[in-house]
Order: sequence, then structure tokens, then C-alpha cells
Amino acid sequence: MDAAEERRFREFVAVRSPALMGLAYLLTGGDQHAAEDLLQTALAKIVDRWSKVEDPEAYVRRIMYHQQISWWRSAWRRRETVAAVLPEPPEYDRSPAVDLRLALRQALARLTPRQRAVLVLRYFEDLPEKEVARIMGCSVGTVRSTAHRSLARLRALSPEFEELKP
Amino acid sequence: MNMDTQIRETLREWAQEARVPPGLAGRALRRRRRRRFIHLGTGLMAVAAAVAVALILPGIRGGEAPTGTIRAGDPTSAPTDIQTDIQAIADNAPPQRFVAAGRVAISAWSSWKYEDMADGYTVVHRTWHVYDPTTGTYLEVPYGVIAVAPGLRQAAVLEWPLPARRIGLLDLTTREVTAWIDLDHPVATVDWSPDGTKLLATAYDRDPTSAKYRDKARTSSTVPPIKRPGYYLVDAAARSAVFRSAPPPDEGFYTARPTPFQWSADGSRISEMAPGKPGRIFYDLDGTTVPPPPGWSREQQYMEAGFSPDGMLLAAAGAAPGPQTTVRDAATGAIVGTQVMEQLVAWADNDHLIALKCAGTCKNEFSNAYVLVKVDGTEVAQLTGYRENSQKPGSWEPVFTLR
Repeated sequence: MDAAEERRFREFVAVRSPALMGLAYLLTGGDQHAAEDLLQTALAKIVDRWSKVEDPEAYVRRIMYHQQISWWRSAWRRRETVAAVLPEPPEYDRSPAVDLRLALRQALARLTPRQRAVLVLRYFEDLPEKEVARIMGCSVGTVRSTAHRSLARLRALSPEFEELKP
Repeated sequence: MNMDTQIRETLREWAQEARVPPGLAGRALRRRRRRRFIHLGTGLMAVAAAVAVALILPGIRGGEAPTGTIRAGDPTSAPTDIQTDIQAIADNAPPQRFVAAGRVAISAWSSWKYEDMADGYTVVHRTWHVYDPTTGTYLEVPYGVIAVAPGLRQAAVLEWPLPARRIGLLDLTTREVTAWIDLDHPVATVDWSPDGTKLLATAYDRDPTSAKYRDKARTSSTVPPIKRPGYYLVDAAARSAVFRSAPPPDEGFYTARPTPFQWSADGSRISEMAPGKPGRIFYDLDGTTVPPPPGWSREQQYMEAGFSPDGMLLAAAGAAPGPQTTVRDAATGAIVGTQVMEQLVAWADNDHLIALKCAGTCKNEFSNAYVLVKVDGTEVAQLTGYRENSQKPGSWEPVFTLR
């Protein structure tokens, strides 16, 4: 990487890191430290291929999805329980809508990384199932079944969702 | 609201809560360099170590730090990125590898550019690079202001744009902000006390560099009303800040653009510039107006190095037209040594200073480099490469800090 490329890389990170960090944060279920690790790992990977990558943002996003799922696959990761959201948030005056969103966050944080990744791709990135399948490296059918199971688990984790229209 | 919409909104709102850590790009690049360094093998380690020693100049005695200063341990001598380039000094501009001599080091450097803001005014926007103790290099950080504490382990940071509503304490080793100190009045400058225990931050209601330029060359400008309501004294260990209001500057040049408050060299006072004599107004740490510190003179503020570590000598201007600087006996004022330099920036020890030297025959005073010079005028070493024009946007400016 020469000086001009390094400058371009730094500019890319400066401009896009809020969006990328937001994605990393969601993928890790709201764990700030894990999100930093995830984004840092993805950026370190793209540095090596910087001059060859045409769309750096898409590349970093793809690495993060794959990385998050592969971390989860490894045995030592599976033993960890990430609980960035307190299981019992303090009681204070809140509207029912706020309560619902906090409950939804907690439930999202308790999904598996793969389930959460599918929901993030589908609802946060607004990608069609075919594109989600391409990024996740699986079939459209697997995406559908994973999304279905994820939503069912969200409902099971928080009874409030039963009242929402599917 | 159906479940799809609820999930969408929750995810969007949640993502907003992620905090972007500083130095992401730098850390990614550093990881890569570490990998490359390991691949290059141990044979080059000796070369790296030799060059590192050359950069941290030998033969200079460490001066005594002021009482209470947080001192680093032995200076790190393991920069990781020099194995590819052993022409270490001449091309080290802006510095990529650690620059230090005796008791002082370049702790950070900034480059600047003009930036148009939404309010229609133009401000000076600095991009900062700060010393990384783990690699011995300088890494970019995304802050508007950074001030490194004596000891080179911690820095105070303000977020861009200025003024900022909180002061961060940045651990230079981990590159993480360990604490944010929230403020009621936004501040645009921050400086460590000489003993590294307190911070002084000047409050402004807008970026004090704001201006509306009338011509392309930016030779004339209109300055908006800029209020400077006071300053904060921050106890860094206790993470507590005390605000002291200050009256607007007296009538004169500084009313349009009030200058920031500064520490005195011994940390016992703070001061602000003022028109006329003696040129600065001094306050004690309770905000009471007090006389200048003993030995202080108006001229002294124009020669940054000030008194030698043992207090016996004083850096001073030389004879016109220059370039010339002098070192004088602090008690008698007698000239002890003369140097062919533009400025004396800092004392490396009682016999050596870091100075600014202009290039060639000094046709352009703003084309210059930092060198180490003895009191008697002998140039010992060049510390950085030459800048083409230190007054132009894009040029870099170092900050020297006790290490």
C-alpha cells in the first residue's frame, strides 16, 4: 500500500466507520467491544487487498457477516454468552412503545449470530432474500427458514410481540 | 405497527447507539505492519534497533522533570515501521517515526486546512497524528484537538467540530478513551499543566478560528462575534471540572478574537494575552489577578523554549535581521551562546535545545526543519525533514512534550 492508497483507506474509514460500526454493533447484539473487534478485524483484512477491491464498503460488510458467523461456529465462541443488554433494565417511567423496543433489543441480543445476521440483512439493510442468500453463502430456502425461526424465537422470548401483526 | 416495521425501527435506532472508536484506520494499518515485520524475520531487528537508537538521540542527558510529572519509563526503542527505510531523518517530515531528544519528544503533530462550515464561516480544521508508544510511530486520530500529557502515556482530546461539549482522556497505549468529562460550556482548546495533573480548557461559543474571507488568497476577513465566557480547570485523576467565568478581554486587538488561556511555565498561574504592557494578564488558580511569575518578561513569550531545566539559562531572540537566536544567563542577561536559528523551541537538557532552522540561505523563512543545537551554536543533529512552507494549508506542525 503506497502513501496515496493509505490516504484513501484512511478517508474511507473516516467517512464510513459510523455506518460500519452501526452494522457491527447490530451483528454483535449491541456489544460495543465485540463490535469494535469485528470491524477492526474486517478492516485489517481489507488493508491487504485494498488496491484490488472495487467496492470497499460492500467488501467490509461481507467480511463482517462471514466473520461473525464463523466466530460463532468455533467451539470456544459458542461457550460464551454475549449479554450486552442488561437482562433486567432498571425501572423508570417509559411509554409502552419504548418498552416494546427495549424488549425487542433484548430478544435480538439473545438470538444466535446467524439468526441475528439474517434479520439485520433483511430488515436493516433491506436486502431481498436472494441477496441475503448470496452474502450468507446459503440457499434462498435456508434464508427463509432461518428468518422464520428467528421471528418465532423473538416472539417466544418476548410475549409482547404476540400482539403485533406478523 | 406490524412486526416488520417494529424490527426495522428498533434496528435503526439501536445502530445509532454504536460509538465509533478512535484510530480504526491506524490500528488496521498497524496490524498489517506488525504482520509484515514478523515476516521479515529477526535479521532486520538489529537494523531497526540501530536506527531507533539514532532517532532517540544518544549522548543527551535526561533533564529533571518538574515535581509530580508523570514520567514514562525508558523511552521505547522499537518502532516497527522503519525496517523498510533507514534514511530515517531527512524524509521524516511529517514525522512517521518517533522523534525525541533528551527530556522532550514530538508527542503529536497536526496538519491543517480551511473548512467551510454550515454557518457560512470558514474555520481551520486540524488533522492530528499522535505518538503510539507500542510501535514508536505516529497514528492519525479523529479529534479536533489533542494535547498529550507529560510522560506520553495519556492525552486529552476534544471532538470535532469545535467547540466541544466534553473532554476525553485518551490512553495512548490502548488508544481508548478512558473517560469523558462533560461540560456545560463548550471548549475549543485544552492544555495540560506542566506537572501533568490538571487541564486548562478555554470555553468559546463558536470555533475561535471562524472567519469569512473576502478574497481567494484569504488576506482579509470578517470575524463573527466570538464569546469566550471563561475557562475550566480539570482535575484529571478525579475527572472533575471547575468552571471560572472570565470578563471579556479589554478593548484592543484581542476583543474580536479572544485568545485562549495558558499555563505559566511553573503551573502556578494561568494567563491571557492583553494589549499594551506587560502583554499578558496573570491569574492564580482561583481566578484572582496576580503579578507575573518571577523573571517573566514580555519578550519571553516569543521564545517558546523559556528557561533551561536548571533555571540558569534563558532562550532569547538574537540580533536582527537574523536568523539568529541567543541563550542568556538568566540572572545577568549576558549572552552565553548564539545560534543561527529561527526559533528555540524546547530544552532537551541544560546544554542542548530543539530549534527551528530555515533551509539553505534562508530565502524563505517558512521553509524549515527541526534540529538539535548546542548552546554554543553547534548543530548536533537534524531531527525532521524540511517543510516547504509552514504557513500553507497542508503543512504540519509538531507539539513538543516532556517525556
